[in-house]
Amino acid sequence: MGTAVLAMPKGICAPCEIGAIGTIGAFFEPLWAPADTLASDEKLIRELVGVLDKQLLKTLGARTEQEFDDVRQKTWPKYIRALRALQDTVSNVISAHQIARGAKEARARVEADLQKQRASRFGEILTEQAVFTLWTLGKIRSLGKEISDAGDVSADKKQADGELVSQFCVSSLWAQFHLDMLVAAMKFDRPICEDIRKPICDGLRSAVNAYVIMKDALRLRYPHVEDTSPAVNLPWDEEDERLLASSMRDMNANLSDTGN
Amino acid sequence: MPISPTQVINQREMYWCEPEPKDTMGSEEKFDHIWVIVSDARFNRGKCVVGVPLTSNLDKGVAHLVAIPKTEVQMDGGKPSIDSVALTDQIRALDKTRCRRKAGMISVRGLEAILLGLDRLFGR
Repeated sequence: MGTAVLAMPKGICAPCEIGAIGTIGAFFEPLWAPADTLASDEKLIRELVGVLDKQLLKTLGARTEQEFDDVRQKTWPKYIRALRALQDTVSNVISAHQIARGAKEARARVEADLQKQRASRFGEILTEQAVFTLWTLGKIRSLGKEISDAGDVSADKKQADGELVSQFCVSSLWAQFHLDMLVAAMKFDRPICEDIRKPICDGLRSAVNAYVIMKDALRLRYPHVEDTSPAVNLPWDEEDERLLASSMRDMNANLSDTGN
Repeated sequence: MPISPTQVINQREMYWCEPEPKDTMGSEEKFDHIWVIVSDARFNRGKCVVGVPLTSNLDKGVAHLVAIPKTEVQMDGGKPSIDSVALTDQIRALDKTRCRRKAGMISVRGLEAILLGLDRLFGR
């Protein structure tokens, strides 16, 4: 998916850096076995979360779209570095199963909180986009599991897979960055200026990009096989004709205000 | 040239679609939309295909009304593509014979984005 309407900064997240995560399958592979969390781990996690919060609040403090763009250019790389450190730390001390369960619970909790603060903090459009993004992230997780189960790609597809990994990481992290802004706004009771809601919405939209990239990665593992079965030739009668005519008649009334 | 009822219309193809010829006379452009065909050609019955309209009103691009960047659209005749939004909640049965002319083709990724929006719409 192109990024023409997403205003995503280019080259901030070097493909080689995020590509180091591995193939898309590896991204979703089970992590370490369960282990007890040590006090030092907890302290480190708290500190890293603090760094993330700082970047998110700084971005949310913008009052205009231009200011938001400028601040975001600076906070995004710092956010990515802190997030990677946090993911590495968490994956070393918490089991994959716990992470998956935690992520599911967190998504449900965030959605409930977004709905509660729909009118007071976010407004209709931002709330809808955020809830859709959460739902899309769930779909991405399911796709990730399918990709992981399918295993690695053959040698001749490694390069294409690597490119998809880079694209996926940038798109999914960009969406997560903007979603985390909303979570930070709720956590620290910060308002979201009307002027920065649109760019946040655009940022959330990149979850759709991440999803379609994952579908590409799945197709690399299960190539499309041309279906040569004959076309279905079911009967068509007067009733169908009337329903189709009705559908076409309704079109004018429903679409005349869409401003194509 | 209008499409004949027997012509095969494939998934991902895009058409300018004319709802009611008598209503659009004189103000054709106002009511004209590009429709992305989302149904698999093997399952199209009679002269029916299923499509989702695109709008250039980008403000409508929220949640399941997914944005389609111009890079995902290839217009016929070398016409420039524009960013658009797929109005997935306006999905409907289209009469092939009202598909006035082929507008172009949407990419596989573009179609996947629309299908994602439809999944959300249908609660899948």
